[in-house]
Amino acid sequence: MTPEFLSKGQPKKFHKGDAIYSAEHLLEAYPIYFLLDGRVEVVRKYNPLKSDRFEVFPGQLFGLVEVYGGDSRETSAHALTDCQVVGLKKADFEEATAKYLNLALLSLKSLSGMLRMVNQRVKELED
Amino acid sequence: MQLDNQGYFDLDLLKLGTEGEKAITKELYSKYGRSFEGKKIIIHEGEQGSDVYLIISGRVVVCEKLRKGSYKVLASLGPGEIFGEMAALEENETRSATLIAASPVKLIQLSKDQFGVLFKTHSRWAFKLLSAMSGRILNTMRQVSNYYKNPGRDAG
Repeated sequence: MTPEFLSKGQPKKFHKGDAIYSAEHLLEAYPIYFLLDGRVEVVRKYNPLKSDRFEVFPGQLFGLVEVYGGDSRETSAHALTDCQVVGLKKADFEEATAKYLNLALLSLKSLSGMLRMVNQRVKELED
Repeated sequence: MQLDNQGYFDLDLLKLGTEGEKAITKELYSKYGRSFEGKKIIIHEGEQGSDVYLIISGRVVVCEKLRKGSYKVLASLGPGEIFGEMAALEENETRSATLIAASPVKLIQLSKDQFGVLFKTHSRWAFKLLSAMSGRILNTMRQVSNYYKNPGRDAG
């Protein structure tokens, strides 16, 4: 069952391997994604050999980082399995977040995990 | 405590633009305010802790301790910015960085529970944190990207 806060979103289905969004592209019309089913991988590619990968599971959000921290995509996202997502506009996401603060906590926890991972990457480089 | 006379609340510290929220910040400072002299460590990387800090005045630098023992500055934070939230958001309450007062600093220090209550009653904190964390993630990724483009140089 789709959560009520997603009612203004745009449902989409992707097949395994499909790109959901790509680095260096402008933000999509519905740039924040809630994963309903399947698994997604968000990738920040540094060069052809080096990248950081963040796996997304049902019930989690992705695509937030550039919406709040940038103008265009710096990461890309693709479907690891067939999956169903709901895309949200920023304004609708914020309206939902103001109403369902657990959604905000969910988003922040996801970002926190991502930040720890990239911080660890910096530490490894420096060492 | 003569906060108004000292000018700490000239700014809307939460950058939310309403007098009511300024008043909340002032009230919080009177209950949970702390001050640190310059060069004092506020949070040690690796230690357990889940308090969240809101900077009222002064600057705080975010550092990572490298295995060779030196510190690398990752970011500098100023009035209105929040730190310590990662440990409060996660079950793992290990501090991910060392925070050092770069100048005399005044802070509001909230426990995880107090932060949770405030967060739930003032949703704009959520957007402020979303923006702050997203910015930090992208900046850190750009540092890593720069390192790989110029491997001989510092990642910062």
